[in-house]
Amino acid sequence: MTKGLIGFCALAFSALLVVQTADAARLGGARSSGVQRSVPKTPPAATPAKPAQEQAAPNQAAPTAQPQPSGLARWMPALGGLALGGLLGYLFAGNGLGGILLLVLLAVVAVLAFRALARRGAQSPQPVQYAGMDRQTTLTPPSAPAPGDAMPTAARFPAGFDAASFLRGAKMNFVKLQFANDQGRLEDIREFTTDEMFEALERDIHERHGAGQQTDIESLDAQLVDLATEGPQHWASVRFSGRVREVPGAVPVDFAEVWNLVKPADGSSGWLLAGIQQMH
Amino acid sequence: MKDQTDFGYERVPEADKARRVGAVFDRVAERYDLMNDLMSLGLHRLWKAFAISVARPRPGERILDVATGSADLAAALARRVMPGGEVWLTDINRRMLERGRDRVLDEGLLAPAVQCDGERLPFATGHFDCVTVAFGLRNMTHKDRALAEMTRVLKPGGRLVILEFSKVWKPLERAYDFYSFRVLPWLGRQVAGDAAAYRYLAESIRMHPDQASLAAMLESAGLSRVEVFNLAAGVVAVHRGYRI
Repeated sequence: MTKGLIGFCALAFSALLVVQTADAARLGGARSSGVQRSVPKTPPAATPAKPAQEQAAPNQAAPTAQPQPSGLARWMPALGGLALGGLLGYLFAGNGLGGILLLVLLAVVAVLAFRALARRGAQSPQPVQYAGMDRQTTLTPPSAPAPGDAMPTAARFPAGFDAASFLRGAKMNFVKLQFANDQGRLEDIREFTTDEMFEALERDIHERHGAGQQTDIESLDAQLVDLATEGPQHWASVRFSGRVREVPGAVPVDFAEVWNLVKPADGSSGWLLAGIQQMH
Repeated sequence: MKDQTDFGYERVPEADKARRVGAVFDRVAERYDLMNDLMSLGLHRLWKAFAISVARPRPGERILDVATGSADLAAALARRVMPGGEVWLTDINRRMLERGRDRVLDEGLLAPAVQCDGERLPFATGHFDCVTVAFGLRNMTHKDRALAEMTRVLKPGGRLVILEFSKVWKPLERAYDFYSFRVLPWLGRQVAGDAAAYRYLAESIRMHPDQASLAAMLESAGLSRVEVFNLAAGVVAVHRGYRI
């Protein structure tokens, strides 16, 4: 009887453990798995990576880096505070006085902002230094050109390789695969993964008995850290970083992982996920 | 002059307006977000948040965001319709649509993007639970046609939510005019290097129907229970109507 009870408790406890492990929700369970490649180890992230709209945007839309938009981050606390002030004024004073306050504030801030921008403009240009500060210092591989380069990959990768489009596609597939993993849609995962990687991912889903889960990505950045042709295969290593909420209601956490993608040189298939390497 | 329409205070051939508006957005696309923050003192974020609360997106819903621009509204909507919902981005301007599409992806969300004219939406009748348009209706050549199209693609019971500049409270008109016609073009020249684009903005706001007129247009387009919410003393207004 006692033995049975102990056995039952052990079983229940181990089941609990399995459930807890399965809670680490994003694709690959936040572990390294599959093919591991030698990619530049970046400095430990001191700050969370920010979304990279400018950087991920196709370059034809942004041929040169613009210093001013990147200053936005600097201005946001002040703007936010003033906006809040305007809102409070509006709320407390009703439409009339609130509106007047708003217009006075608008004029003052416009003048201050312009002065600051003009001062910054007069300094030596350091394109996207501010917007990319967190991201660039943490994400740029040591071998890459200066952080100001709007297309750090262009010089190192073959002519005709559209890195911006490639990364946009990579990001879309990253999000799609997280969703497929959440829903336990094995056929969707199989479409984008090598056989070995699929087996590992399938195992994860079976371990949680196919239960649905929700992975909320709050921000996503992608950088191409390596592109190589080895024998009959092309390899691409993409470093994904950002913030993700793996358990509903939990605080989002930073993540950084490299996805190693492979594609037959003869073009018989598209890029497939062959391995995930954790960077943290 | 029935073949002419307003482009700010100018009268231009109807066929030209879309192209000229497109040129304005091509010129300001790079500084669009910064200028929005500077011009509105960051308030446009609150206005958009308010419009979203009026739209009341729910998980599983299908929403169309017309004239999505840099997708401020669409990104917030997309998060709220998850799981199971979807938000479609549309804009007539390719560069703005690309910005919007990339912005949404940077936030880890997937949303289909379609370049199209708000006056000729390539969607089936009764397809969406909600249609939103933030600071876009003003730039459309035939607002009545655009409203009719947005109404058409709504499901019965679906709602149209419009966030747009409107008519400011009368005692503030002079101050607002000074700001619009002196400060804005100057700011546009200094920051975005283009005074004309921001003069167009100020003029197009004056040419846009006021709260009551737009509400009447929504009703003419076939929407019911039309409500108007004034923000910042009428500098902007949110209109909401339901397709019954």
